[in-house]
Amino acid sequence: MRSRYILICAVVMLFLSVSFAFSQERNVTGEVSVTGVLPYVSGNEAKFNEYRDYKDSTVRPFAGGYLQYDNKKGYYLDFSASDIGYDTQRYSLEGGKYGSYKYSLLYDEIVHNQTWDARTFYGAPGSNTLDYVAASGNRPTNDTNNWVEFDYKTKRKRMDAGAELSLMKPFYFTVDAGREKKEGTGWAGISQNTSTGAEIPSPVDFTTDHMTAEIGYGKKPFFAAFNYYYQKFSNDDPYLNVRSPFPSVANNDKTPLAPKNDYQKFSFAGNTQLPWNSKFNLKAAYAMANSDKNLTTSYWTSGSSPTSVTYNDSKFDGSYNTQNYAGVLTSTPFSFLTGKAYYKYYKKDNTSDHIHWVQGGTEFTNPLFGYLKENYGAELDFGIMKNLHLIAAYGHNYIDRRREDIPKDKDDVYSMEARYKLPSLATLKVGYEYMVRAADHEWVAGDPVEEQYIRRYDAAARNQYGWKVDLQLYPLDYLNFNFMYKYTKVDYKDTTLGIQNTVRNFWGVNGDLTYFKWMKVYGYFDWDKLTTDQFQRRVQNQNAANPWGPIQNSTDYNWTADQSEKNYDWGLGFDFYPIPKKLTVRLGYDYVRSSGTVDYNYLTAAAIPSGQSNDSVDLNNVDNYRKEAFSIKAFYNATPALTLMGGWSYESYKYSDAGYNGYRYTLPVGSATPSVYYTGLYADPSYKANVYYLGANYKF
Amino acid sequence: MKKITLFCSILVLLVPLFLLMLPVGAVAQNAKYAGSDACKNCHEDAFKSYMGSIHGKAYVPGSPSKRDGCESCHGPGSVHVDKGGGKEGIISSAKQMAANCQACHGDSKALAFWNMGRHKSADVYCSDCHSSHVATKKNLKQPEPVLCYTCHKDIRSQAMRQSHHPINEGKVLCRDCHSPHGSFGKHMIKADSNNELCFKCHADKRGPFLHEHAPVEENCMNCHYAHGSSHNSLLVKRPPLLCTACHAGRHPSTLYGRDKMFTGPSPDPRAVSRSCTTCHYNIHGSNGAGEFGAFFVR
Repeated sequence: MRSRYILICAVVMLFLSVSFAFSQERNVTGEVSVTGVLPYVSGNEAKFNEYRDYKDSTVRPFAGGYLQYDNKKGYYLDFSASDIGYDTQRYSLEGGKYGSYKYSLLYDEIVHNQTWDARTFYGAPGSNTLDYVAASGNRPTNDTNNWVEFDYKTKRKRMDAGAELSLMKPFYFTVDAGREKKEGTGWAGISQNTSTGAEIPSPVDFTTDHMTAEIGYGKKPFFAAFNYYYQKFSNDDPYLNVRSPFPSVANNDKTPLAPKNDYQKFSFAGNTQLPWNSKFNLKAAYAMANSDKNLTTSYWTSGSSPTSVTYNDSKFDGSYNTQNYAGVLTSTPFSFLTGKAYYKYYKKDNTSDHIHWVQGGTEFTNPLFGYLKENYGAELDFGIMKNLHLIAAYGHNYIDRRREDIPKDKDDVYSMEARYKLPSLATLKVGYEYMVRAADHEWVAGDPVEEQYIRRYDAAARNQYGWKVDLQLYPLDYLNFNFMYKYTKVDYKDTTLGIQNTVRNFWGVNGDLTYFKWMKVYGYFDWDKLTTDQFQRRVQNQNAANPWGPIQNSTDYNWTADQSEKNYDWGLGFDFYPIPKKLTVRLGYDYVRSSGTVDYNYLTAAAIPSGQSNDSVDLNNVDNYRKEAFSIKAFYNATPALTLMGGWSYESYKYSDAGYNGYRYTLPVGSATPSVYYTGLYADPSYKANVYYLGANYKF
Repeated sequence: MKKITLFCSILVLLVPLFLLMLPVGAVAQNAKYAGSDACKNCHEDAFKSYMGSIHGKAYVPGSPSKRDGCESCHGPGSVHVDKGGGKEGIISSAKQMAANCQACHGDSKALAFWNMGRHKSADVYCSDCHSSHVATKKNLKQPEPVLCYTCHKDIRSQAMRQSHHPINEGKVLCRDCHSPHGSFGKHMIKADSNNELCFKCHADKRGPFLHEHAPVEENCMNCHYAHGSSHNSLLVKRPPLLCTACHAGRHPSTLYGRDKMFTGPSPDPRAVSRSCTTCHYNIHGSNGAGEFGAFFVR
């Protein structure tokens, strides 16, 4: 804390001293600001602070500013800092000589607070070894009030340095290198069979290094650039040693975490001008990724000894390469006609090890997933009269996957758009898109019988329709208004089990009005509704996998889920200038609301749980929340250089979800030997906060 | 006779068509440069803001202020001055000004692929986002993401949802993932595939893994939204329904209704909290042992 205040004072003094030193020359401009923030938070402080670093009932000074140096001979230097000393701090230095070179340095921190005061029976949450003091047999205590508290929180620290040389125009050279460290506590799980599991904290200790270099040439009629990108990821905690509470004896279940990997990419991108106001663009890229991991050779179930796994090779070397080629031809041969034609090829080849192992007398081998994507198409933009354009396009996509259920997809995409633009007044766009996807479905004898009927939505055949209307009005310098409507419907036409259809309606409006010289009003409204219908079947008996077969009972039954998700948000802002150029009062209000429902239906009466009905099992709160934020701030320009600011804001976030309401840390409730343990991740994120601000901003 | 009639009909239709295509506000053929001081007399605020921006700095190589100042972008303005103002006789349309921007910046690597970008084909011009009369970084009229939201309202709505990338917090900028001036990637992303882009910040998900989850390997967007979602972890749907959409069998495709929630008579771990991913936590891919690794529970 003390070091943070020292840092803040030092940086502020640096800003001010530089400004005084160069004040006579007027080569340096900038500003420095300090704002004291005092929040009072009730409820979930982590959610309030999700990407912030405020502290309840504590004044924290947030300082920042920028310095711009320009020697008026072509050399410049820009330095900016924000949130000095806090988990959201950022420092950036850029400089160079116009037209010759530039360089940049960046340091940035991003904090992500997910849940504070989570709890676990493990003694050292966030470490790579999770153990506990057994209370009975191998079981931990069920007294959750005595569990250890910890925070689910991660912080990224990014350092980046870059330079660009353009002395030898039209040639240029850029290089950039950086490191990001991500540290904190995330989550993992431990499960012994299909009815036991525990949510557990997991260490996050990642380092990601990258380097990129590019050399290019840009002068009409050519542009060409060669680029090399390298990234290396390492994890200081490659394994998590966990004592599972479910076996009958003390144990160490070693579970692998994210493996280290490295990635390189070589690419070329360029284009050349052609006759008839045309351009041909070309890209070619080749990339390789590698990882390796010493495989764990056992895992614990609920017994008294682990299950062993014997591999043909105890080390897995993973690798894949990608190839990407694309050619795009654009042309405007006449002022009223613009065309585009393209071809793109992308292939991912999985060249990882095949690892064989035997379990329960059966031999397994890991399948290697790879795919090929090809797409081509054309677009024509025809100016049929002044300010009115008609655009028609066709695209074809082909996907070939190394996947058993749906290895191939073929898409045909047709679209039309009309665009009417009245200069300095309005733009209206109306568009329609239709896509039809043909999908091969394969099932071979020996696969689970229900796989004959499942169509996975990411690859399943579909008809997709979409409309879009976009109106922008800007009749006056001080009046802007935008309206957008989007409709999309997807019919998964061949799907028996899975998503049947989705429909999305989106409305969005925003506008701003500056009225006279003493008021500005701005506002927005968005409304988004998504509905999804699913048809599913519970299959216990492989002979009963056919959804339309004769077996319909309490363990093999069909059911449907009609889901609806509505999101809407709106906001209003007013800027008043009671004393023009001297006093500004800013009022703002934002409202965000989401509500989700699921209408479940058992299609077999025998399957309805005792005491329930098709109505009682419905969910009427699926990720429901309401967030409001109101603020009022006043800015007073005491002098041309000094601005004082004071304000208050109120935030309220109220969340309700059927899966989190009435949260418990163990299930079954009250059991001496729970089958599931939780830590409180994402539980009860609601909060209310009053935040007070007082600050000053000095310009020089 | 019929052919002559047809020919004349086409001519009658085409002539007004060509006439209609004449650009608005074209600079008069006999216009001369009036000098920036002439512009300053009527447009003092605009002149001041221009001089404060990078385009007003004469020591920057290629700067318009070393050439014809205001008229480098707005065209020779003598006719405009003689007429006492008005939109005729001066370049004021976004389309014409974009051509002037391209004249200087067209060779830059930032604009190398502008011709194939979605913004170009949607008639988004330079002056829709940039202005020579502001002294902001990259001469943007408004900061990101507010600038982008003026057109991309659906993205604004998503970015405000409870689970979101820190876009509105200023920690992830639109141009960290997208190239607004055009690129080969779909939606103008700065990568050849969605996964390649996501792995730049989420390299822990890259693998390759012994046990792969095919839809994850193909496209992160199969399960996640990029900008924001009502569901935790930016998921497109709340589990278990997300997972049930692809996986049938016994416990994946049991109906987990209200009776199985914490407040119901038969709470089930597959219904509550993080649902399937409480146990199947390594859902992006696993190097775990044997069958348990293959089911992502290790």
